[in-house]
Amino acid sequence: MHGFYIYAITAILLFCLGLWGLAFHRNLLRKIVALNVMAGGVFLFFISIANPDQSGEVDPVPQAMVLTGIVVAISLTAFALCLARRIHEKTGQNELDTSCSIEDGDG
Amino acid sequence: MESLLVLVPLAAAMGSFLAPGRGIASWGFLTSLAIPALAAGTAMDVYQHGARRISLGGWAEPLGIHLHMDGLSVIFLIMTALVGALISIYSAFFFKRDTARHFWPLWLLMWAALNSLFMVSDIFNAYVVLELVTICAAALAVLSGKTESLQAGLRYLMVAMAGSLAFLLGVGFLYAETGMLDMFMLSWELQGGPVAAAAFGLMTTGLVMKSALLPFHFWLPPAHGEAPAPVSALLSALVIKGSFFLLLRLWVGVFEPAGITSHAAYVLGCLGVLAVLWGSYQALIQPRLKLIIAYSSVAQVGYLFLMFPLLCTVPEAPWAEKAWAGGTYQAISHGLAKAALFLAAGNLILSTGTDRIHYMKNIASRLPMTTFTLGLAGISLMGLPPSGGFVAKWMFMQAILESGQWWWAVAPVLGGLLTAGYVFRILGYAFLLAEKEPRMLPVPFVLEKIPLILALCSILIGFRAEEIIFLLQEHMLWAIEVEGDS
Amino acid sequence: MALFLDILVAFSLVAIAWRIMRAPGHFQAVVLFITFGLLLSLAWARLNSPDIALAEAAVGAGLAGVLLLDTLRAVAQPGKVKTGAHFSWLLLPCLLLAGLLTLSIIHIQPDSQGLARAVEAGMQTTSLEYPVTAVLLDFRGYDTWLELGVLLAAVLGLLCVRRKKSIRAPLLPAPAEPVGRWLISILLPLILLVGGFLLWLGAFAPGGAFQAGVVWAAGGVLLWQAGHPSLGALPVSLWRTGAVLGFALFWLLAATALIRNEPMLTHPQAKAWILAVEYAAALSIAVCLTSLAIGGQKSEDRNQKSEVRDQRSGDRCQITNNR
Repeated sequence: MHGFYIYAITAILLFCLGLWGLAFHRNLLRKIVALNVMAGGVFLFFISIANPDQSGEVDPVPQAMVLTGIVVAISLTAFALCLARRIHEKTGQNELDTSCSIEDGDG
Repeated sequence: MESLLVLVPLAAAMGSFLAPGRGIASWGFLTSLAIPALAAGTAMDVYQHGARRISLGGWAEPLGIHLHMDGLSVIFLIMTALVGALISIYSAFFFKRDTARHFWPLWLLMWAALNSLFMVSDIFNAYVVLELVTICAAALAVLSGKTESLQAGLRYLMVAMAGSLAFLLGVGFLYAETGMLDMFMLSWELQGGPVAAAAFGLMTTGLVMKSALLPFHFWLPPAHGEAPAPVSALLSALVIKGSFFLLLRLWVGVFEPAGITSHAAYVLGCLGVLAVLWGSYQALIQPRLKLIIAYSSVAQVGYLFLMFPLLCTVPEAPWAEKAWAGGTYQAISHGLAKAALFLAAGNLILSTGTDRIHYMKNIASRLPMTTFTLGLAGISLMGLPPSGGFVAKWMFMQAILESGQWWWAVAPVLGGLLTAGYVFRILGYAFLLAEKEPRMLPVPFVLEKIPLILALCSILIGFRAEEIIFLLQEHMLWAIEVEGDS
Repeated sequence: MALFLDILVAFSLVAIAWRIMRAPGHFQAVVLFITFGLLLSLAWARLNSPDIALAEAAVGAGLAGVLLLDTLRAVAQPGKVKTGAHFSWLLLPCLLLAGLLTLSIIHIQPDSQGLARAVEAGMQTTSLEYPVTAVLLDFRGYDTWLELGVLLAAVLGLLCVRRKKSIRAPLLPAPAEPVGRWLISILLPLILLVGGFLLWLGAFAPGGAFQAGVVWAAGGVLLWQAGHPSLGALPVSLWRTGAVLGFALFWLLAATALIRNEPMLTHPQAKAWILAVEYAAALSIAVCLTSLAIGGQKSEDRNQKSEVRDQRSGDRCQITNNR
């Protein structure tokens, strides 16, 4: 029971830390890492609901969703990294031209 | 029938991936023949028999994924079929071979994903479909390989990814609260409360980021402005509508019955008005045609968000039908007109090599058909009768006046004036006589006709309001017996 | 004791995430991210989700780590991280958001069973024995199908950015690395075996198409890292088929269901069908992930010329067909 709250709150903290990193880092690689930390938080939240009382019984649906989500996340990450590399090859920069800060205002 | 809307483009996508030879465009041709027919068939079906849903894999309600077809989805499906088919034909003549190899599989995959998105009924499935749309859209946006487009594409990808993650966390909250994923069941099960409110905030923020509403609009102009013309048309006309459709479906279908939308609806309405004003103003001062059109998208998306305060603040509002009609008309006519504008801009670039409007002098005599297209699409954007844009704004005005929330009228009135400003700015340059004749290449026949057809459609839909309003009646939307024909 | 362990894992997760964001060097951040992935899989093992722990260890820590390190090497720039000037105040809205979300988490009743009961009921009729695999391939097969589509789209996008016809074109000439080759000749059969075992296991125990695909992809990446020429010798058509196979079999499943006048994606509930789809999905995942890991390389000189041409023509895509 307590396990659920511990992991769910951790998940939220990871999500928000990732969001923060995404907003303030200028470097593209760091932004992508931050997105992955956010994704880790979301997945952790799903698994913490799958197994609220840490007994043997686990809801398989969130597990399947997280497996799907991991594949989606790695696909997008790989594509984003490829774009970042291409931008570096063309401009010699690891940043986007104008700063773009993303903020998740209301929650 | 409705399954084929997904299956056909997917088959064509695989075909064009496996056989990227000389005839790669024929995959696109075949699909653009099949999809409008299939969409029309589905529409007739819904028109006659009302909304329906199918359970994929034959698994019933809480467990399986469903596809849900009702009046709203049918309208978006038809719009996608029409715009998609015409842009496909344009693209078949536009791209040279080594670009076409990359364009077709991605666009066909995205088409399937969009069709699936407009029938979505499962919130996790919505996430997967959205991501498929996102990654295809981002890859298409960098098709030209220019540095600016790469940067714009990556920025779009990162914003969209963050938006998807916020949406996904919202899915998690909804699942934690109710233990189900099907929107149709959620619409009955979900009660208000902090958990539902958190899910609501996260999902709304995520989708608003993807739909480029005002504070999150910054990625749109470069991404749409730097892509090749057919891709800009697809992104502006269809991709934004995808996340907007999902937002609308969630608000009206799931969160409004739970009674947590009323305050947020005013926020979205205000952002919409600001987007209309800011986007139109930016469009007025842009030096390049494609950027004008892209900023105009920011503004036109703002109109769509007027639907929320009109629909989701007062339960069972008598003006709801007019607000529905206004919003969907806005979505369709913007899709058609914007596709026409971007394709016409593409023709201009083909012909003169630039889209800076200072170099656009004298195009009226050299490219009369393209100029005419710009004018027609502009009429629809401004909302002059009898265009589709006029019906949209007329319906919005009626709903606004009936609801007594008169302050929203700022958007249609001022927005219309500003729109007229940038449309006439484009046309003004087109009719100026140039001192010396710039070199212009001829534009192939098909490439000139396709945007014209799109612009004509955006005018002509103003005459067929009845059917669309019928499809949007309340009993056509969510209403199905649970043990219905699924 | 268990509670203590949970708190320890949770605390170190947050601490590492904080360090990832604040690390001054990029390399440090990437290494910390890999540690983060491993720790996350530990958390999932604690939460009785061995499938996810396996997948996260392989993908989050393994494959993502390889990708990030590879990119870092390619874009390495001397100099320090520039954090934005508004760094300190952006943390506040994020913490506020965390506070709000935490407040709503407290209201979650963790006794809701979710769809576990529905899955249990469904297990009676499906021919699969392990619930997670059943959800992935049968109950929610549409998601898995589209997920393979996302993977395919990522590969397509990569080719599009790199302007390549296939993943093979860019493969670097194999650097002579005798130790690596010797190692790979021992490791590769083992990797193939482990992947196959995981795939076979998925029918009734943790494991399945995804985990097997990731393990095989790791084999592919190793093969390439060691400079083994075999991947470069793969015919393009074979590579294309491999990448699309799982997706195509799902399509076939959907289409045949329509012919039999059943809803899309209905399984004939024959084990052979499901296993065929699963094996094909594992193969496609392996091929696509390998392509994603090694396909981001810079194009070889041969392609540079066409690239310059593309740049010059810019937005003016020439017309293929001048009537």
